Amino acid sequence: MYMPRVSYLIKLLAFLLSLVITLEAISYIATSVVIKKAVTQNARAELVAGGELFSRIMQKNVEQLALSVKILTEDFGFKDAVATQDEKTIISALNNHSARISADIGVLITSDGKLIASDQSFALLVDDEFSELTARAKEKGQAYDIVRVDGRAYQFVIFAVKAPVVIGLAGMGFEIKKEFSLDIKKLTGLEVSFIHREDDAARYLNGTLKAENVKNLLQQLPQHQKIGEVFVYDELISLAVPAARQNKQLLAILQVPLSEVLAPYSHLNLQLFFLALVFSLVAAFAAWMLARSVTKPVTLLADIARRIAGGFYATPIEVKSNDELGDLAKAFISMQKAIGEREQQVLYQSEHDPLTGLPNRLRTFPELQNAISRAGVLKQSVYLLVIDIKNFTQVNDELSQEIGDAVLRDVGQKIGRIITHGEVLRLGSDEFLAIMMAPDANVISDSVELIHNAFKTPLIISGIQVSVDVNIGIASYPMDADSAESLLRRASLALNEGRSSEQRSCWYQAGWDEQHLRRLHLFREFESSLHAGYISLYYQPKINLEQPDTLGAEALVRWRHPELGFVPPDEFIGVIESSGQITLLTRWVLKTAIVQLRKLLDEKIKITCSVNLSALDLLVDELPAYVAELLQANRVPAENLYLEITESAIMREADKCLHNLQRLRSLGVTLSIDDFGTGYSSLSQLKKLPVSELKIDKSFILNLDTNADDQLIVRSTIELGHTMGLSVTAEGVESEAIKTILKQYGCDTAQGYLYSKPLPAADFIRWVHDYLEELQ
Amino acid sequence: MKLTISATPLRICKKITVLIASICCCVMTYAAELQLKVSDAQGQPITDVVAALVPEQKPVFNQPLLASIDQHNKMFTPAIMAIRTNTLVKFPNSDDIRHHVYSFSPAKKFELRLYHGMTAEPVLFDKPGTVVLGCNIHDSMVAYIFVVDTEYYALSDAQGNVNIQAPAGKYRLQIFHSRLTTSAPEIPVALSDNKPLQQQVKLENLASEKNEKASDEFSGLF
Repeated sequence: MYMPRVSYLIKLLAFLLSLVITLEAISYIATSVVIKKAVTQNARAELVAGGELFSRIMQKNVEQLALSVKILTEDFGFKDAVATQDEKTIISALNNHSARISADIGVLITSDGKLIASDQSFALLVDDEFSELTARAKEKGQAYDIVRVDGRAYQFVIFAVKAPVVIGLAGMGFEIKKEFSLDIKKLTGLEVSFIHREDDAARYLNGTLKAENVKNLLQQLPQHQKIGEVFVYDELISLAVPAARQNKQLLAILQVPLSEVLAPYSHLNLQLFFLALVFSLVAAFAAWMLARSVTKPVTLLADIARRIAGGFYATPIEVKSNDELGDLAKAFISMQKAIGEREQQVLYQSEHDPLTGLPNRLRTFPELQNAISRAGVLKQSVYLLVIDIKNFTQVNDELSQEIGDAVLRDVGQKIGRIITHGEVLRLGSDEFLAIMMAPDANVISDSVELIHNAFKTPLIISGIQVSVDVNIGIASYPMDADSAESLLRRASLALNEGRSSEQRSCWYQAGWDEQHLRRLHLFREFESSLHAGYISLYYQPKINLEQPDTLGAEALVRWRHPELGFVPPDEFIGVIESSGQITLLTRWVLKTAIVQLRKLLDEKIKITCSVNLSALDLLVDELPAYVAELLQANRVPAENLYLEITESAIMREADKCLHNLQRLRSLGVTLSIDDFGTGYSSLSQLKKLPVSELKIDKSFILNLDTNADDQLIVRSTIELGHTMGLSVTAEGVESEAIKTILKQYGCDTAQGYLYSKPLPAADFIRWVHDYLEELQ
Repeated sequence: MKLTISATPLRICKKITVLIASICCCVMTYAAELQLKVSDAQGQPITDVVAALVPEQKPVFNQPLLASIDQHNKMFTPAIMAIRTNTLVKFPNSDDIRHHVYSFSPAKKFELRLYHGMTAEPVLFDKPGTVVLGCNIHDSMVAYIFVVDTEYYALSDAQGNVNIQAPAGKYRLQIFHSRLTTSAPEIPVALSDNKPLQQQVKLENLASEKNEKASDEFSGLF
């Protein structure tokens, strides 16, 4: 499942924020609910209070009317006018008094029922409602009510006019006009509606409501019959109060729009909301700070961890806090330090030899590069000494590993003491390097000499005297090499060269490396050349001096490389011997030679063929079987095959060689000692070998006719051979004179340019035919 | 014929009036007599009903008579009085406050502006009819003067009995009362000398007994 990466900071922030917002929301909602409830309750109370106020205003109006009418009725002049039925005066008095209190109408009803009004049209419109009121006034002397005249509602007060007995009724009325409703609204803050209700039909007389609300009110009213009780519809909190005293059909509806009641609350609501918002923001900021205080050090530590992973251990970590994060940071500091130290240790160990304490192979190239880069600046040459303990294997084998280690340690120390201005490293098992800088080679020669001198006295190890000698190979930059790699290679070459030439110190000579590289090239090219047919077998005839028709041939390997040209056998045999490819070559040669032998035998040519074996071939136990197989496969008699070995070949692992030679001999193969006289073979060893032929090296033969020493050697060798029951072959016979001498000495077989140079197979066959023809 | 003016116990002390009445009435006595009993619709006797016998032949009263209504304790005394046309009525003020006596009655419209003691001129009532007197300052003060065109009149006592002595002849019996909402019809009567005429009168159209305190119609309306 894919989990998107959400940083801890975001998670923490989200958690804290949602917590704060939830709390804020809850408190906001709770507050809102409480406020709304309180406000609504308050509104009801206000409405009731408003109703009270409305009643008082109405009462006040009545009292004002009553007072005014009373004053009118008690006016002596007015009484006079009424008593005398002076209509004009009466009307003017009514007008006058009405105007004083802004009453809308004034009336007088005479004792005989005539109605005189300030507005005469009013007099014409009065109906039962008004008459009821006047009747009450007549009875009680005074009366009040709201009456409707021509659809208009009036608050009406009527008093009896007494002089002193009742001589008429005087009244005044306030019309309940829109202005009146508005005044009440202004005083009470309530919407006021005067309603006339008759049976089920309600009529809106007057009020402050808007037209659409009026309609709603009239629809709603029948459902809310109870007077004095608060009811709510369409967001209007309403209260019905009676407007008139007797006239129960007249109602005043007082209303407060809920929106109006809630208006201050909505403002408060907004404030609350903003407060919540601000608090949320502050909390978010605090949460951010808190989250950052956690994640910032963590991020910092993560960065440091990445830098540690990248191998940088010196990042300064400042520990400010004393909490868990502080502990973590402290742990990081100690971890960083420990890792750094351990890596230093590991690095040191990886680059240093634990035995001698010297820098090891890994440091070789960095040190060389370093020296080379400095050489140019200092105008000096870099000299590289490769120092090898000559007889270390011997010490190790003959004494012990422990002593060997001690020797290495001491040698390293000694070299280190001598090479003070330079670097000493241990390259390999018993090889040391010394990198030195000097303006010329003389300084180096002195140092080399010092080293040799140092080992003139034997080392004392655990009370044992151990004589140690060293070989030193030297190469320099920039004279001998142009890079660290070539410098090392060339110094090593010099060492090898010195070792093989028995020199204690050997300076690199120009061309050695190229030679070395050619050898490498040959090694690489050999196998492909073999397969490609660039390597072929040449045959050189061997002639029996007593019986010239007894023929033999030596198979010789020739390599003509398309680029390198003719490669001398001496050169490439050495290369493939050292690379182990010699076995491959020997097998190929054996196979080719035996196939060729078959061909010759098929042509009725009686001939033997010699194949050279390398010293390494004798160590291969499978060889005798392979030879037997080849002979059998080609139906070649074993006596037709000669195998030549050099004296030196048997020197190493003599027993094994001897064993294999005996196995070959037992096949019926004839074995020869090749190049006899150049090696160091002892007669006793020779005696043990199951050989049948000696081949005297051509170096003794070439000048046989002129060199007395050679003559002595050759003659005694032939005699020696014969004594041991061996036939003797001379190689390098190039003249008739030499042949004659050899024949004279009793040499059995001759081989050389006198007869033929080595020839390719086809040429050789032709030569054989020619030769045999010539003999006849 | 003896004119008896019976006063309610409250009004006994008003000696002066009695005296004046005695002076003008008691000099002559007549043989014929009307014995009248006045009751309301329920048959209850009514007091202070004025009954007057107006002769067929309208008499002429050249010599004005004198009468007086005192004002004492913010009351007219007597509060009800019957007089013959062409009578001068004096309105002395026995109170230590001033009064403003007026009348808007058609029979006699007059006004005696604020005065003290005996300073007011007597008022001549020369037309028959009911005159309601009031005080412009004190609304509670009310007095009725019934002016009749005859010398033969009397007020009913507490039992509703009125006795009027007059010369035998034909008369129109007129009845007055302060609570009558409409004037009572005249009743023709004939008096003879041998035997008093007994008559019973029931008065309809009587206003109910007035509450002294006017009801308050305006307080506590809402």
